[in-house]
Amino acid sequence: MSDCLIDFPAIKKSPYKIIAFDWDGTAVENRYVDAAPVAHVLEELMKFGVYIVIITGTNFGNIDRQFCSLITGPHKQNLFVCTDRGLEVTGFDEKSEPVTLYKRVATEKENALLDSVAEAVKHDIEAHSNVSIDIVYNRLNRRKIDLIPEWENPPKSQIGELLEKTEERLKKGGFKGGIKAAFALAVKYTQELGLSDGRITSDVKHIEVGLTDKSDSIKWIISELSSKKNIPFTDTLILGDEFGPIAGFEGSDFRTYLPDAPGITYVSVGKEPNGVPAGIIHAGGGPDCFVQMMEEQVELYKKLSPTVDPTFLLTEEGYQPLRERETESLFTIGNGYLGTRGSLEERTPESDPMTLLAGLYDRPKAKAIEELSIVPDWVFTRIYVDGRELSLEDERSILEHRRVLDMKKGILWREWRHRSENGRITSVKFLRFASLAQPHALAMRITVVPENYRGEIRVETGLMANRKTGFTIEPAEMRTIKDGEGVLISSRTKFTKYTVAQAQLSRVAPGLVKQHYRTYINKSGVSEDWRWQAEPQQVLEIEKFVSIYTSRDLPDPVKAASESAYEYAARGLDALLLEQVDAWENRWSTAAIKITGDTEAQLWANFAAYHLITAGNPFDERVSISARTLTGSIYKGHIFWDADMFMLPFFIYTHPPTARAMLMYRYHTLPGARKEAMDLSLRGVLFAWESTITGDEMTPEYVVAPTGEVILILTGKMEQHINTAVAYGTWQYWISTNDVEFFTQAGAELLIETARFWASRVEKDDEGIYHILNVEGPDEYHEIVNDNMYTNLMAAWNIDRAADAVHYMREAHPEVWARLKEKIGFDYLELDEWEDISSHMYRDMTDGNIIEQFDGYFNLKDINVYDYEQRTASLDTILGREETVVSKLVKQADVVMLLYLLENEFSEEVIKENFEYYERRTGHGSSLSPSIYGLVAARLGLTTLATRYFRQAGTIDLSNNMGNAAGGVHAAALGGLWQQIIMGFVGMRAERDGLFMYPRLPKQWQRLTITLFWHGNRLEFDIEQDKQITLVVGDTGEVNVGIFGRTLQTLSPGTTYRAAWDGSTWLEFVKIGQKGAT
Amino acid sequence: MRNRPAVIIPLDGSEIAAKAFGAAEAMAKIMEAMLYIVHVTEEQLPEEELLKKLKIGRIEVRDFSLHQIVGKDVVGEILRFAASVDTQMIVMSSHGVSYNPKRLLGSNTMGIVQRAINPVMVIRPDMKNLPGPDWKPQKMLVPQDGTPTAAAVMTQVYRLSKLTGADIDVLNIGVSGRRPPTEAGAIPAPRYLDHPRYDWTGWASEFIERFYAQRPPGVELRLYEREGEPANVMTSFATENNDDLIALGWHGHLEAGRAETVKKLLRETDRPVLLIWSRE
Repeated sequence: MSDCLIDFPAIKKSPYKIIAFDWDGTAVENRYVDAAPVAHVLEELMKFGVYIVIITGTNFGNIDRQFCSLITGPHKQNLFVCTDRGLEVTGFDEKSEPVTLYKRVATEKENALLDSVAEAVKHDIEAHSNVSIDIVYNRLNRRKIDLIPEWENPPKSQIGELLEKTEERLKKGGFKGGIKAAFALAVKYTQELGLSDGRITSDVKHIEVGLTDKSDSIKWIISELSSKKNIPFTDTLILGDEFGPIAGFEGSDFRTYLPDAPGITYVSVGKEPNGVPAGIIHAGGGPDCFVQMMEEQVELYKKLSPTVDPTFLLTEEGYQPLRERETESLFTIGNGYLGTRGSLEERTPESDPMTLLAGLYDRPKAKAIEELSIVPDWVFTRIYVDGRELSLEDERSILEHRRVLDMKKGILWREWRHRSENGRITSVKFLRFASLAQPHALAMRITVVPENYRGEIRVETGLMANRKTGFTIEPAEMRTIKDGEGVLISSRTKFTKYTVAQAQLSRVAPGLVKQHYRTYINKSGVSEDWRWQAEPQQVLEIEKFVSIYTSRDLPDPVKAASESAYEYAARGLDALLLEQVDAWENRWSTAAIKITGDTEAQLWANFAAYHLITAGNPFDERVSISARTLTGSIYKGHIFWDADMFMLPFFIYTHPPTARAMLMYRYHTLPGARKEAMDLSLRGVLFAWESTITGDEMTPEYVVAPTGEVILILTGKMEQHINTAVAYGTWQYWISTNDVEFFTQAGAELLIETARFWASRVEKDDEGIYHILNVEGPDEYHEIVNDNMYTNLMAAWNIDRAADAVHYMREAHPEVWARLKEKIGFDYLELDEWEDISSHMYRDMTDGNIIEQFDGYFNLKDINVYDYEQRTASLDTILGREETVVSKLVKQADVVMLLYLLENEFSEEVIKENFEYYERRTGHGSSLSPSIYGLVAARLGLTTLATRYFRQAGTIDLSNNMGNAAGGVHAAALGGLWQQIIMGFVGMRAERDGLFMYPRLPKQWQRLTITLFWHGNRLEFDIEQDKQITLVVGDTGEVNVGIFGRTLQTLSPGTTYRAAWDGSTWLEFVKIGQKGAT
Repeated sequence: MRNRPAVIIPLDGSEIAAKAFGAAEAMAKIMEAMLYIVHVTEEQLPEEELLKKLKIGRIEVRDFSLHQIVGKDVVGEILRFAASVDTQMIVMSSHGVSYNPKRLLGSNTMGIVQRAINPVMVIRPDMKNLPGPDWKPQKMLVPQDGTPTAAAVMTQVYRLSKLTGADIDVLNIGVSGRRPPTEAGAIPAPRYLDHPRYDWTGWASEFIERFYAQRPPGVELRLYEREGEPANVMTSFATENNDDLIALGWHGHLEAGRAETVKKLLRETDRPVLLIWSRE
């Protein structure tokens, strides 16, 4: 509940850099209360770099005793105390010791004049009445004429009574004019006696005659903070409790109001019985409201600052040129629409900056395969000091350098302190993000501070086309946005004919530094240029807003980009940033996996989820996620089965709209897939092994090795199991979301058409058994094989699910089905054919329980991969191609993948035996493999082995143990890692009628909390090792959840359940109470 | 004296030690350096007598300096001398006066390669084609295991290649039975290849990219990947590809269990080996 009388929205949105306030009555009730609560919140603000300024009439000793002494630490240097009504300013040094920064010293003559004025007033009143007046002389540079000496220290809360009593005293004593007349006398004698700049104020009890007032404190702030640090007035907040008139006099805080410093926000927390002057917000609520507002500022600063939790941070300390491209990949920011690598803004020879847009494919030349085009680099920025560019290339110049990827907020922070040869130290900070809330918005803040010199600083920031590797889109038009302001690049892909427009507009906050602005257009790009004469410690912030649109999005991307850049600039960077933080918080609210007891695993889980979130795009169902997401170009942005089999589950259970868009991408590429099948004279569809936006096959047919050898690539033709990946993903989405619209409009067709392919692809032998010949399973070390069990069984499963889809559509949605049936020319006889194929598909069980991976596998030369555990290259490289082909070496989970996907078709004994058999023969030559082995191991209770595989999967990018993270992160491995946690360690199994789980956590994990979506409902699981599972069911509806091995239980919405571990197994869920019950 | 680049050849008066003289002259010419012929002796000899003792015959380089240092600690004296001039390279035969081909290195060479912070070129006296004064390597083999330590040698290699115009063969060797390097920032050959056509080229370009930025213009850099026992692979690779020199980064440890590849290479190759020390 608010302590303030009115809501003051800016306090939650505007991070003030200077907060100045009256003390007594504003920050605290009076000078005797415990100030610890207010000290605590203000200290937090100081730690965020906010300048806290106290403006008071009392002396420093009083404030120090009550408040300043409670604070110690380097942040105390941000505290300033303006005391004695503008006479003195005290700051603090690095040891937190007070330092007088300013003091108005009165001359003897001025002191004598002050005495004379006070005494003249006293004599005048006493001469014309019976009222006795006291003078307080011992105040620095002022005198207090006490109109009611018998009431010492009246509290501010009794101002009304004080007024009444003082007036009564004066008038009863015969001084009929009362307080006002006393005030007028002070003004009169000040002028008559020659105190030319005397300041007269009143707090009712006193008429004060002084040399300064609170306006001098504000002037000091403007001169020493606003001006020297270049802090705009708009970033200053001044609070008091008496701005409005009291007893006909201006309030004691009125002098802090400076109309000639426009943009400062003034807030009164006082009662203000006579209202407040224009330009002042009356929040009321007293010190409680003050503390509340400060707490809101703290919350705001927390949002706008880097996350504290280290498991959400990737940090590079210093600069490591050798690892630069790897760092760029891992530190990519993105929002699904685009990804921008974490390159250095100014670039070094090692840099490989890159911004990739999902779906923006082109061909380097006619008939070449499509690949993602790299658009002009929007982070490009160079900083010059007196004409010399700041650079990291000379390591001696680097005093500090740090890049931090904040995965919680999707922000890349960079801090850099550079020392030039002549000792000039420049502090530079960058912040950049791709808005998750607004996919076309990119923003960057550049902060430059000359620490110890004055000189000319120039910042050039723009959109640059040139880069080193990959496939770059060429600019077609470069210009300013309008009237010499902002810059714009419009580019066009050569063959696919997309237009890409990037508009940039930068702004400098209206501080006191004068800048010169101009734009540049040259061959390699466009830029905005800011130049200014800087003073030591003066801060200058440039906010850069970039908007990107393509003709894939709308017909006129140039117009949209231009207008949006202005729109973003008008809103300001903090507003976009807050939106970004909220958007990420929203995503993490369902995607976060919280692991207690293992910070390393927590970092891996966060890293995986972060990169998956940045890759998924719920707004565009014409794109899906490529093998290296938008973090690098080595896979050309091609989309593999990785998307459907490895990444999709993350989205199904944490963000169904993205999962839906990914499946709709498959639906929209059906024409390409139909053509693929037709080219093979087969029915249905065959999805491209490597796909772009068209659905056409993009796998190269061959590559030329450096030796000149032509190597044929068979995956495009042979890895037809991609069809089952699309079908599996479709089915998983359907059973988990119950998204009827998707299923009836797209899902059913995907299942039926993929099944039709298999029905026409199988070959029937004389015994009526169906085979799939000349195929390649997930194990790519054995390229053309017959009866790959993974393909056979997944194809049969695909056919069964298609039959389920037909039955469901026919019964539940007959009208829609009728249209679909006609569209695809479905014949019910196909159901009979499917039934025959599925029930007679060749299933190998010739060697006891061990499934032969493909026909003839058992005859190959045996191998135990543990004999080759220590090696510095992939196992197939060590063995050589010829030896690999004739050996039982398996590249990646093949039969074991089957044990995971079709677990219900095998007994636990079969799963265990096959897992052990293939585990010894799998080289994990693919990043997709360790997590699947870890998942099945976890389900089998082989927790130590599962944990080892989990580590292997978790470090693929973070330790760069693939050696090629520089080309982008391994998205399938990240999706696999997530699946290992959820499907493996949590033991989640999704069935048509409900969700099962059976947690088996690694020993180190004390607790695991996850959130999953099931049928639109939010399920929050809190799993405590060997103790209990607490499940909170969301409000949407009933759900069926069960312990694996037991029956499903129907659980009520808005309810908390608990399942206990009895020492050997998990017991059923028991209702605990309503949501929130413990 | 410090301003002039220096190449040092320590000689002990044996014919075996003098076999490295041609290579030293060649390096001095290439680097436009002063050639310091250093002999540590217990008894000072007249210059003419010393030249005779060192068995170096005609000296082809113009700028050379004969230094006779009286002392007993041969290795220490040579290293002290190396520290007193701007030493670019020490060139020496693998063995000296007490030549025993069964031993990896003679005692002085052993001491110097282990303690020198300057690049040391080791010449086996039994090499078929001993480098002469006009020798100029055309191709250099630089084995790299993807570690920043190994990459650090490229600065020296580039300097030499810039002076000689030699091309560089970068060789990565996949090894079974050895753990991948654990050094932070290392990129050994990928243990996994999702799709070799992309991952392999991605890794290769990254591997090269790490050296490429500092590459002098005109120097050709080729990356090769081989599998097998590293020293054997280096030796046979150098032969097959006509590499004139093998340059290796190392940490200066020849004790048991350390630098096995360096040791084996020094025993087996018939190419000059340039050892470039870097801090561990």
